[in-house]
This record gives sequence, structure tokens and C-alpha cells, in this order.
Amino acid sequence: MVVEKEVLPYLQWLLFSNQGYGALFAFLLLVSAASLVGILVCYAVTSARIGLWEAFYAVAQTIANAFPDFRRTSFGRVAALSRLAIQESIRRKVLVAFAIFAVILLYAGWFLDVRTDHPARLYLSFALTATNYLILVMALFLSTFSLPNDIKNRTMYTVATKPVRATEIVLGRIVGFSIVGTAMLALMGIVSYGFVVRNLSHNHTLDADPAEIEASLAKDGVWEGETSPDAKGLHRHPIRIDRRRLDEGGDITTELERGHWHVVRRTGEGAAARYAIGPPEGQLQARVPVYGKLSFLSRTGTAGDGVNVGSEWGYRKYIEGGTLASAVWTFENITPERFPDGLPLELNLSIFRTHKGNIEKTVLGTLFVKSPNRGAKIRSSTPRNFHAQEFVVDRQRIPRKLQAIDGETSTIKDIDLFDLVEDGKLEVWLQCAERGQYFGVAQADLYVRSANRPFWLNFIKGYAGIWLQMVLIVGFGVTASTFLSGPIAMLGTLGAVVLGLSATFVFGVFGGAIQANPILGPIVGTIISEEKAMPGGGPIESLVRLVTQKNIMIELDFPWLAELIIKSLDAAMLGSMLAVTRMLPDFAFFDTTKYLAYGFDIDNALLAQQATIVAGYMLVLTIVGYFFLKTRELAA
Amino acid sequence: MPGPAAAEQTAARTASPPVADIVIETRSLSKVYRDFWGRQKVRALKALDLHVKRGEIFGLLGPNGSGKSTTIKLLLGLLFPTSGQALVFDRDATDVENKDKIGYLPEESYLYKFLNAEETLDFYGRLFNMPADRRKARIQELIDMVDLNWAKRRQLKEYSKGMTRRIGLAQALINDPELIMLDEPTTGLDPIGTRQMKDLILDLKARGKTVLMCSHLLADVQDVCDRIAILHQGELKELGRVDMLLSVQDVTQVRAKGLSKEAEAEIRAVIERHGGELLAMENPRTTLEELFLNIVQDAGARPGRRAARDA
Ligand SMILES: Nc1ncnc2c1ncn2[C@@H]1O[C@H](COP(=O)(O)OP(=O)(O)OP(=O)(O)O)[C@@H](O)[C@H]1O
Ligand SMILES: [Mg+2]
Repeated sequence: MVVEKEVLPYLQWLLFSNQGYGALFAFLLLVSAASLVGILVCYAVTSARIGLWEAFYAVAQTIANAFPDFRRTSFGRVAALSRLAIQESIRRKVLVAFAIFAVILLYAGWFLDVRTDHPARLYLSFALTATNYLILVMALFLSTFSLPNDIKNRTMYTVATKPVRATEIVLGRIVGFSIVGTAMLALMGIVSYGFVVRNLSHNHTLDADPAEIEASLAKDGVWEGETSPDAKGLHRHPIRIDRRRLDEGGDITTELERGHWHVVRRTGEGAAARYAIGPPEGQLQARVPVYGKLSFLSRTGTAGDGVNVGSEWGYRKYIEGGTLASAVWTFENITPERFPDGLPLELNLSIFRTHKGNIEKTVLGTLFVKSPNRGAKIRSSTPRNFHAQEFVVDRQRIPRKLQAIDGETSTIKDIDLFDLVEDGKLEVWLQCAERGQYFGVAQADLYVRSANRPFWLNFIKGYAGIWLQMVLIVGFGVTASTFLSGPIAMLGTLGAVVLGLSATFVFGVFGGAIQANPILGPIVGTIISEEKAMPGGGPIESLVRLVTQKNIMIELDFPWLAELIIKSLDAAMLGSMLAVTRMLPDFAFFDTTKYLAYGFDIDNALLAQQATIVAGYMLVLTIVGYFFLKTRELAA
Repeated sequence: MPGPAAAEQTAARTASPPVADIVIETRSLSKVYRDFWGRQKVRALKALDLHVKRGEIFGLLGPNGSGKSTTIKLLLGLLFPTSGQALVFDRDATDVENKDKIGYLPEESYLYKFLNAEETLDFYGRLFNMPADRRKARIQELIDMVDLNWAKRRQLKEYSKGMTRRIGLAQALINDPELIMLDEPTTGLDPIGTRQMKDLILDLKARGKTVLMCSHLLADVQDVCDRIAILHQGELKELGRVDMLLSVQDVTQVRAKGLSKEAEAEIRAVIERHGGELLAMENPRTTLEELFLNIVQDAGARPGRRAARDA
């Protein structure tokens, strides 16, 4: 699971996230800029029709009239109009969407790979993605066709001649369709939950004769074997029953297989002993990870950076095996109160091999826990070795009782984990023990699992993300439909979603076009980072290259002026596109399916940020919708 | 004998109304329909000046496409004037504050087909923020009034044209409006319905409401309207009290009873002296149909001229 961006605490995000300017500031800046442009455009259009002075009066009047309209917006009328929207949706048979959903899930087995190693991930992401797309399509259709239909059928005449304000018409629809979407989402959520749980639940038994196990335990102290296969015959779990562990009263668990394990329970003793295998565990979970700050030590053990092993995604950095190269995570707020039983670490590494071999074979790794205090008498625990397997979550519990080397006497001492903690800070060092192999790590690849939240709660949070997207689509759809006809409003909303999703791309192309510009490039090109500037230029240059058959890596080789014109036009075009894109929501930000599927708790701060963004958009969209509807001749 | 208060009231009613009693006022109201590109398509209304007083039944007449519905839509704020002003209750026609006191029956009943009669009225009632109990009582009252009690639970898509019309009327009256605009109120209604509609309009007038209606059915207009305006291709051709408009001013009809032979001879002599011929002594009445056809023909022959009479 890739958490590329860490989730900031809510207030920090709101007030300081972007180089000191928070989301709130960005919002206010965008809204003021957009309103200014909006007012100017309106004034220009109006004055073309009725003259400069008259237009000024008309625009001012419209804006002045808006305030009493906003103030007198009545909850009762919004409720009446949303009731109508709900009745309309029912008449337009929205339940069909739900029927489609149920059918898709029913036949999911046909197109899902049941042999996957991670069935929980598969079923969860499938159910959530299906829900997401269906709900969004439904929201799109409902919200964009309603108002244009009312205007076309002229039912709007009888509504608009009642004391109804444009805000109420817009809000009524947004609220109504959101309620419909909520109901559908709730239904789909319940069905999905059932679908996931039902598909993941299975039983194993122990086929071995209990007497045989007992005999083996008595003789060797352990018994090793396998569970029976599950009903679909897809997997078995190896089991190792340890006499000592049984006597201690510890849990016996099966080996991890397909992302889960089972607890084995023994009842009775001796001849009367029976073994029972519990339900699958560990596949539907909501881990709360605590991330540390990652830094690297070079192969000689001095401060340095991880290496890049070639044309790889820059997200992970690599440490070389058999050297002192280390990845060091510094964790904060590590207190005995939070972790009374030691540190539950989880790591998830990528492995880069320089010699051929069995890709399934594990690579030996070493973990140390160290004090951040360089001068401490006892600085480091003794090494803990583990077998790393690529992209399998490895669970390592660092116990309270540790051994460490006393720096002065060079003897091994028993210490407590928290003896190494300084001001709540603790370092975890990772090294690769095998020569010629590399571990690839990113900050989020090693974390302390601080708690487990209930899975159902996380499931609801995942659905909340979909819900927010649905509300956003409804808002965009209804607002677009205040000035566009149904199909155009639908396409427009869809376009907004796609453009919002491709913000990074647009920015990249724009950056590339600026850098390549003969005049702008030297002046402002340097402030655009190399990663963000994509070669090949904007639409016009691309077209020229297409026609002249020049690929994006070679120079255009046109006369200087021609090149300047092409590139400047491109930059202008992309710049305005970027301006629009900046105002659209990044729908990817709302997609929390991954967290849910990979078993990570969805951070409440993330949810709060998403909700805030949606609230901001809804406010602006309602106001924009108001002005469009208010200034529109409904009978023309 | 009427008391002094009653006398005062009569006096007030006959005296020309104070300005506050003007419910609708248009000042050289014009409307040009434009197409998507802003090109002029139709000049639907040309500099219309009208005043409608409180408590009046005002009829808008005119052939198809003469701008009657356009006028009403301008007065409701559904259209914006190209130039001129439309004022209702002394405010701009687009002002939402007005709408509490207005009822509107559109040309065709534009209602939500998936609602039944009760739900329809309930919906519109809610738009006026009427409290639930008052809304319920009012809905039943209106459904009884338009004789749809038997079909009140059926969806409007199953309704016949006349039934839809009736529920449309009920919808227009849900808020007990001060001013009711009826766009061709009797189309689609059966003779009983037509009769009821006219009675209703007169009843509204009796309760002090103002009614603006437009219609082709001249007999209806003649029966109920106090004043009428006749539009032709967006121009005002005729405006006045119905009884005045329909009296033929250049003809005098004298009819008398109980006159002696001498007296009769004297009158004849007078008439003869003035070179006339006595038929009967009164102002005869023409029908509105005749007036209407005359005006339309006249307008066809001499476009741009306004008939010379005024109320
Ligand atoms: N939405 C519109 N777009 C363009 N032209 C229109 C529109 N509505 C009406 N018109 C034109 O305006 C003129 C006046 O139409 P209006 O509907 O006011 O007539 P009317 O007097 O109500 O006619 P009828 O008796 O047939 O109802 C007509 O020429 C008509 O074609
Ligand atoms: Mg009409």
C-alpha cells in the first residue's frame, strides 16, 4: 500500500499546508479571484447588450439583490423542493442502479480472480469501486437532467411564480438528490459488506488425529501439519503447535495464507484433547499506523541517501545489502502508556536483487532499535534478524525486554525498550544482511501499528468518502444544469471530473511549455521543478510535431519567431486550462478505497479535510447556481 | 337607506382610484425574443402601457400570437423586458416578495405528472410555507371547489385535459392570492366547467381580488370583464370599459312608453328637424365578437394605428 502523501492534522492543513498558506487561504484566494473574473465577464456580456452604464447598474443591482435572497432562503421551501426531487428520482426509477449493483455483485465470481493472494483486498476494492462508479453515474444523471427538464416542460413556470428563491431551487435539488444518493449508498454499503464478509468467511478443520498430535507433542514438543483446504479448495494453512506455547496459555495461530490466519484452540488434555480452528482473522482490519521520519545512512554508515537502482519509480530509495547502509526511521511520542507490550512494527519492503535466484526466496534483513541520543551509554539493541519477502506485510513485535551492548563495558545487558527512548523519540534501523541484494523503502513502509480500529467503522468511513464524491457531483451537476441543457450539463460535469483528476498532467504539460519557451523559459522556467515539466509542448506544438513527425525528444527546429509564437500560444492555452483545473476538485483525493482494502484506518483528519473541501464547493456552487438561475429567463 | 359609511364607500368606489390601488402597471413595456446568437426573432410586445386597478377584472384579448401570454409572463418575471417596465404591487415584476400575493394559471397546466392532485397542492402549499393544518384544510377546500374529490389520489398523468386544467386552477388559488393571472382559463373545460370558472372569477371579484385574464372566448370575456385591452401583433389596439366599448356611440336608440300622440309627434318633429329618423331611442349594443373582428380587420388594413377610443 502506498501512502505517498502523509495526512496532515486538520488545523495544520486548513491553515498552513501550502508553504505556510493553508487550504482556507487558497480557497479564499481562488474564490475572490474567480468572483472578480466572473463579475467582469458578466459586466462585459451585459454591457454588450444594454450599454456600459446600464450594465453597471444591472450587475450591481443583481449582486445587491442577492443578499436578501440568501438571507431569506427558507428551510421549509428547500425541504419541499427536495421532497419533490426525491419523488422525481423514484419516478425515474433510480432503484434500477441498485438492481444493477446487486446483479454485478451476484456474478462477481465470474470476473474476479478467486485465486488471488489477497482476497480481502480484491473483494473490498471491487465492491467499493463498483459502488463508487454506479453512484457517481446515478448522481450525474439525476442532477443534470432535472432542472433542464423542468424548464423544458415548463413545470418551472408554476414553481418560479411562487415565492421561491433561486437558492432554494438549487439547494432543494442538491439536498434531494443527495438524500436519494445517501439512501442508495446505504443500501449498497450493506450489500457490499455482506458480499465481502460472505466471500471471505470460510472454515478449516484439522484432519489429523488428535491422539497423534498429542503423541507428537509429548515426544518432540511440537507438532507440524496443515489444515484442511477451505470449501473452494483454494488454500490450506500450515500449522505448528508448540508444546511450550500451549502450556503458557498463548494463542496458537496458523501460518499466514491469503492475508489471514486462524486461531487454533485446544480443549481437554491427553486422550480427550480436541483441536478447533476459528474463523479467519486479520483480513478485515483497520490498522492505525504511526509513521516515523525516514533518513538514510550510506554504505559506510555515514549520513547519506538511499540509492536509486535504475529506472524505478522515485518513491522508494534503496539500501545495499551486506554494508552499513541503513534506513532509519525516527518515531515520536513513543511512551510506555501507548505501547505497554512493546512496539508492534509492520514493514512492507520492496527487494531489488542483483543476482538471479528464486524470487519467492526471502532475503535476510536486520532491525535495530536505537536511542536517538548519539552519546548514550547504551545506544542500540542487539540485532533482530528477519526474513523479508517482497510486498508482504511483515509483523515484527519489538518486546519490552531487550538486550543491548553496553558501550563502556562491551557486555550484553538486559534492558527495557523504553530505556532507549529519549523524549519520546526512538529510532528503528533497517539493514539488508545479504550481499548483493537491496531493500527498497519509503517512509510509509515501516510503521508502528498503534491500534486496531473496528473494521466496520473503517468501512463506513470509506463509504463516507464515496458519499462526499457523490454530493460533489450532485452539486456540480445541479449548478451546471442551471445554465446548460441536460446532456451538455452532464458532459460538462463529467469533463470537470476528468479535468480535476488530470490536474497534475495539465500542470506538467504547462510547466514543460513554459520551460521550452524561448523568452519565458529563462525567466520563470527555473522555478518549475524538472519532474513537473513534461516535454513535448502543448496542444499546438503537439499538433505540429504530429504533422512534421518529430518525436517529443528532438528539437522543434523552427525559426525563432515561429517557435516563440507556437510556444507562447500553448503556454497561454495551458495556463487558462490550468486556471480552470485549479478550481476543480481533485476527485482522487476522495478515493479512500485503498486504505480500506489494505486494512489501514482512514485517518479522521483526512475525512475532515474531504468534508471541508466538499462544504466549500457546495457553498460556492450554490451561489454560482443562484446567479445563473436568477439571471435566466425561464420562459425564453 | 344606506348609512353615511356606506355612502362614503360608494363614493370611494366611484371616485378615480388613488395610485396605491393600481395593482399592475406597465410602462412602455416591450419584448423582443432573440435566438441563441442574440439575433432578433420576434417583436412580441411593443411599448405597452397598462394600468389594472384593485378589484378589477381585466381582460387581454387578441388573435393568436398577439403577445397576450408574453405580457403575462413579463408580469410574472418569467421573462425580462427588453425595454420599459413591468410593475406589480409597485415593485418590479421579478421581485420574489410579490409572489406571495399572486396566483397564476398558465396556458397549459404545467404540473408534475408523477404527483397526484393532493400531492400537487401540498407541494405548492409548502412553497408558501403554509402551516400543515391550514394547508390540509385549504387543499380539501380547493379540491372540492374544482370537483376533483373523486380523482384526488390519481397521478396527474392519468388526468384528462379538463381535469388537469381544474387542478391547475386549484394550484393557482392555493395561497388565496390578491392578484390572479389566468391565461385562457376556460380552454379545455366543459360547459359546466366554463360556467363555474366564470362564476369563480366573479366571486373573486366580489371578494375584492384583482383578476387579469386573457382569452379568445369573447363571450366569456364579455360576461365577466370590467375592462379589456385588445392586442394585435404586440400592439395595443383598444382599451376600455366593456360596456363603453360595446355601445355604438353614433347611434341613439329611443324607446319610450306612455307618451301621448302629441308628445311622440313632437319628438318626431325634433328628430326630423335634425334630419334624423327615429328607430328606437337608446344606444344599441354590439357584440364583442363584432368589435373584435372590426379591430383586427382595421389593424390589418391600417397597421400601426391605435383605435381612438379610451376609457
Ligand atoms: N419563447 C419564445 N421564443 C420566441 N418567440 C416566442 C416565444 N414565445 C412566444 N413567441 C412569439 O411571440 C409572439 C407572441 O406570443 P404569445 O405567446 O405572447 O401570444 P399569445 O397572444 O399568447 O397567443 P395565443 O393566443 O396563441 O396564446 C408570437 O409571435 C410568438 O411566436
Ligand atoms: Mg397565449
